[in-house]
Amino acid sequence: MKPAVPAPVCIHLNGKPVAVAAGSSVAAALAAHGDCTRTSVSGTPRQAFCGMGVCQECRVQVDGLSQQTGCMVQVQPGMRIHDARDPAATTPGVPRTADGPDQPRTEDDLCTPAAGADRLQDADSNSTEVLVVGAGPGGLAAALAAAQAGAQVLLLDAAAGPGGQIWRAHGGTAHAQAQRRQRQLQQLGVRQHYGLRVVAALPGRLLCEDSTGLARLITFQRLVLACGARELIMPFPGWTLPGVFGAGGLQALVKSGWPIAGQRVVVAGSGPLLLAAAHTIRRAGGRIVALLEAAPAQHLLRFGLGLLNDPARLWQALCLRAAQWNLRWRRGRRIQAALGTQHLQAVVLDDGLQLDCDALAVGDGLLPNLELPRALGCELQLMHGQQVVWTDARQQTSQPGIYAVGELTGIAGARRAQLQGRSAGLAASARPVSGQNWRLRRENAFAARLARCFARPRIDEPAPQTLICRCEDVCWSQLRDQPDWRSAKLHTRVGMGACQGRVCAPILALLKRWPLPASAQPLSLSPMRMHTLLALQDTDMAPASTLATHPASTQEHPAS
Amino acid sequence: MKLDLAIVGAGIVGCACALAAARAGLRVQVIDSGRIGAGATAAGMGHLVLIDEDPAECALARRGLELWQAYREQTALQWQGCGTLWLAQSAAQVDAAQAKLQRMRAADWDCEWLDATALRAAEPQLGHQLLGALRVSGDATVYAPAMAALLAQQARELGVHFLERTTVDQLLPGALRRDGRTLVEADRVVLAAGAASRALLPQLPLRARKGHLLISDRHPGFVHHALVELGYIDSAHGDAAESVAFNLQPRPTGQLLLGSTRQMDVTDSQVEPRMLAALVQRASAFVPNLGRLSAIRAWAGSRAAPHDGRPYIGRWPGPAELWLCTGHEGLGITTALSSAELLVDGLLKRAGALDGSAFDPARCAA
Repeated sequence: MKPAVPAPVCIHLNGKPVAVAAGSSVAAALAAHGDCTRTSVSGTPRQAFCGMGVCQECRVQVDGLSQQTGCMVQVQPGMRIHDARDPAATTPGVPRTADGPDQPRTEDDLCTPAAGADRLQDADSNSTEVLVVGAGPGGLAAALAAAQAGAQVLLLDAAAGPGGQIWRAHGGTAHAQAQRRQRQLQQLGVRQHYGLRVVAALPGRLLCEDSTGLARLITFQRLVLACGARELIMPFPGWTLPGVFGAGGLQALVKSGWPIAGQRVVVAGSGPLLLAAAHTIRRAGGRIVALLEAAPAQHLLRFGLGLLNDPARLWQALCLRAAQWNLRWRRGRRIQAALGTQHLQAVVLDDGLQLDCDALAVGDGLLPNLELPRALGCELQLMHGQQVVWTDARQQTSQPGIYAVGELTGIAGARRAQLQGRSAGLAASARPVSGQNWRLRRENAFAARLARCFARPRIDEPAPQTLICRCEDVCWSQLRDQPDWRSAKLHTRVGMGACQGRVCAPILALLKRWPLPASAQPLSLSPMRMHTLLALQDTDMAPASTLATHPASTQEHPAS
Repeated sequence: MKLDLAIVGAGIVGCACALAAARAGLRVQVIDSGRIGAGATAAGMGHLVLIDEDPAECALARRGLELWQAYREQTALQWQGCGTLWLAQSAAQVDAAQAKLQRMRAADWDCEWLDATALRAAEPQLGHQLLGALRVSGDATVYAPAMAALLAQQARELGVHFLERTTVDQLLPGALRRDGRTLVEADRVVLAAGAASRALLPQLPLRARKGHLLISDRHPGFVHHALVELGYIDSAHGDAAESVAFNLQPRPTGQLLLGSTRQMDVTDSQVEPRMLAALVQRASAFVPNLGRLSAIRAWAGSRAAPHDGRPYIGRWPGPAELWLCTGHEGLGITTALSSAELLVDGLLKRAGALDGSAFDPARCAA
C-alpha cells in the first residue's frame, strides 16, 4: 500500500526556489536537482555515500550554517541550502556575490560574542534519571521499559525521527513499529529529542548539538547506549564516484527521498542487508540490474537452513526473496571496479563481467558505532572477529550505570536489540530483569550464524591508486608502507578530515591489521560548532554528581 | 666504532641537531621513545614567529627564520607565508605594539602598523573593537612533522642512525642506557627530549606546560594571517598556573587551528573540555563568527618550559659530556635550526652566527 503523498515543500537550492517532497532529506533534495554536492581535495565530484551522517561527503550549507551533513537534515519550508562547490558557502560571514532572492546573510545579527552562551538550552529541562541514546529498536525498547517501570526518561537520536536505521521512516511516513512505540513513549511522558547528536562525553553528562547548532548539556544518572551500527565498505577503484553508495546507505537515502526511480542499480557485498536494501530500492522504482552476494552458495544454504527453527524470520526471508524472484542473483562474486568519469556508468566484477548501471549499492558488513562507548570508557571485547562493547547479563558495561544494547554488543538485528533494550531499561530503573533467556539465546545463535555464513570483507591488497581516505584523498600506495596509524596520519593526512577516520580506520584495521587508535578522547564525537564548547566552561573531568547506586548495578568483572 | 654523539629525542630539535652534527662530520645516533616528529613537534601550531621581547631569544628566532628560508620550496612542509598580525585591544597594547614596531624596524625586519580601518579591511572577520595590529610579514606557518621527517631523511643520508620506539632510561658517563639494559657508548650525549628531558636530568629546571589546540573543518578564506593577541607574550613568558591567549592560524587546507592554552606542570595529554571552552570563549572576543565554525578535533601536548624563558643550549656543567638542546617552550619550531647550529658550534668549539651565552645551561647551577 503506497503511503499518501504529502504536499511538497518550497526551499531555496543554490539561490533558486524549488519544490521538494516533504520529509526529504537535504541530500535527497539536492540529488533531485543536480548531481554532486562537493568537490574533493583533489578536485573530483562527490555526493552522499553512507546515508547516515558518517562519511561527511554530503556536507552543505543550510540556513547560513556550513558543513552540515545533508543526509541527516530534513527539509523545512523556506530552508536555504548551498552546496559546497561554492567555496564561500563553507565560510560563515563571507559575503558571496548576490545570486537572486537568496541574499548572503552577514552574520553580524546572529553572532555576537555572547551568542555562544545564548545557544545553550535551558539547564533545567536537560537532566534526567535515565538517558537513552539512539531511538532504533533497542533504544525504543529500553526507553519504554524504563518509563513503564516509573523512571524519568529522556530519549535522543541524531535522525529526524524514531526507528534508527532498520525502522527508518520512508518518504516522510514513519515506520509502523517506530510510530507505535513513539506514541507509547509520549503517553508515558518520555521526553524525545530527534535531530540531536552527541558531540562530547563527560562523567554523568553528554553534550549534544542539533542541526541549527543549538547545544544541550544533558545530565543523567543512568545511561543506555543504543547507538547502532554503520556500514563497512571496502574500497575498490572508482568507489568515490557519485552514484556509488553503501548498501544500507542507499536504502536510507531512498527512504529519505533520493530519486532512484528508473535508475539501474547494482547491489553488491555480503549480508542479509543487501536483500533488504534491494527491496527498498525496488519499491521506490529503482531497477535492480543484479544482486551480487560475495558469500558462496553453500554458506547461504547453511544460513537458510539455520532459519528453520525461526519461523518468523524464515517467512520474512522467503517473502523478501519472493518479492524479487526475477532478480539476477549471483553468488560468490565481488565488485572489482566502478567505471565512470564524473558519475558511475558501469561496474566490473571480479570475473571480468561488466554491468552498465546508474547506481551501485555496496556493503561489506556492519560495524558497531563504538565512538560514544569508548569515549565513556566502556571496555570492549572481541566477538565473532569484531570489537564490540562488553556487557554483563543485564546489559551493564564496565562503567557503572552505563548500559549498552543492540548492535553495539554485536551485529544481531532488531529482535535481539529489543530484548536487550528491555533488559537494560529495567536494569537502569532498578527493576529486576526476568526471563527471556531462551529468546536471547536464540538471537545470539542467529548473530553467530550471521558472522559465520556471510563473507568476510575482502582484505586483498587494493590497487595502488585506490583511495582509502575519502576526506583527504589518500590512496593505498601512500599508506602501504606506513608502520602505524599515527605515523600514517601525520605523514599522509589519512583520518584528518571531517569524518576523523570513521570510514577509513576500519578499512585500514583490516588491511594493515592496525588496532583502533588507543585513547578515546571525550571529543572524539565531533564535528560540532565551536560555540557548543562554551557549554563546557564549568566542567571538569570529575563527575557532576555521584551516580545513583542500586541493587541492580553490582558489576561483574569483564572477561579479559 | 664508537659514536661521537648520541641524541635523546627525535623531534624537530633532535633531528635538526642530528643533521647539523652529521654535516660537521660527527658519527651520530638518535633515540626516541616514539616515532620521529610525533611528540610535541606534531602537537604544536607550526608557527614560525619572531618573538622579540627578549634580545637573546629574538636573535635565536631571527637566525632560525633565516635558516628556514632554505626549506621554503619543499612542498611537504606546506610553507605558508601568511605573516602574523599582533592584535591590540587597548591603548596600552597599542603602545606595546608601537614599541615592538620600532624595535623590529631598527633590526630591519619587515613590519607595519595597521590602524582599525586597515585592520578591518585586511581581516574582515575581526571584531570591531580592536584598535589595530602590528603586521609582521616574514612570519609563516609550516607543517612541523614533515620537517622533522625531512631533516631525519637528510641526516640518514649522511649516515645517522635513528632508533625509534626505544626508551632511554639512564644517562651514564660516556654512555646512555636504553630498554633497561643496552648500553650505547658515545663521546657525548645530547638531551633534546623536550618535557621528557626532566626524567633523565631531574636537576634541570624544566617544567611541562600543557597546551590544547582545536582544529576546524575547511573554511577557506576565513582569515588570511596568523592572528595573535599581544597578551600571548605575557602568557608564554609568564609563570601562571593556567593561561589562555588567542592564537588563530589558517592552515593551507583551509582549516582553522585555534590555540593557545598553558597549564603549568600538567603532564598528561588528555583533552580537558573546559580548556577548549576557555579557548573558544577568548577567541570569540576577537573573531565573533568563530563560534559557527565546525570543529573536528582537539588534542593536547606538552611544551618544555625553562625557568627563565630561554632554552638550554650547551654543555651541562659536570664531569660527564652531557649537552642540552631543550626547553624551547613555544618556540621549538621557529628556533630548531638555529638551536642545532648553536649546539654544534659549541660541540666543535667554533665561533658561529650567534652568541650563545644566554642559553648556557651553566646558568642554572649559579
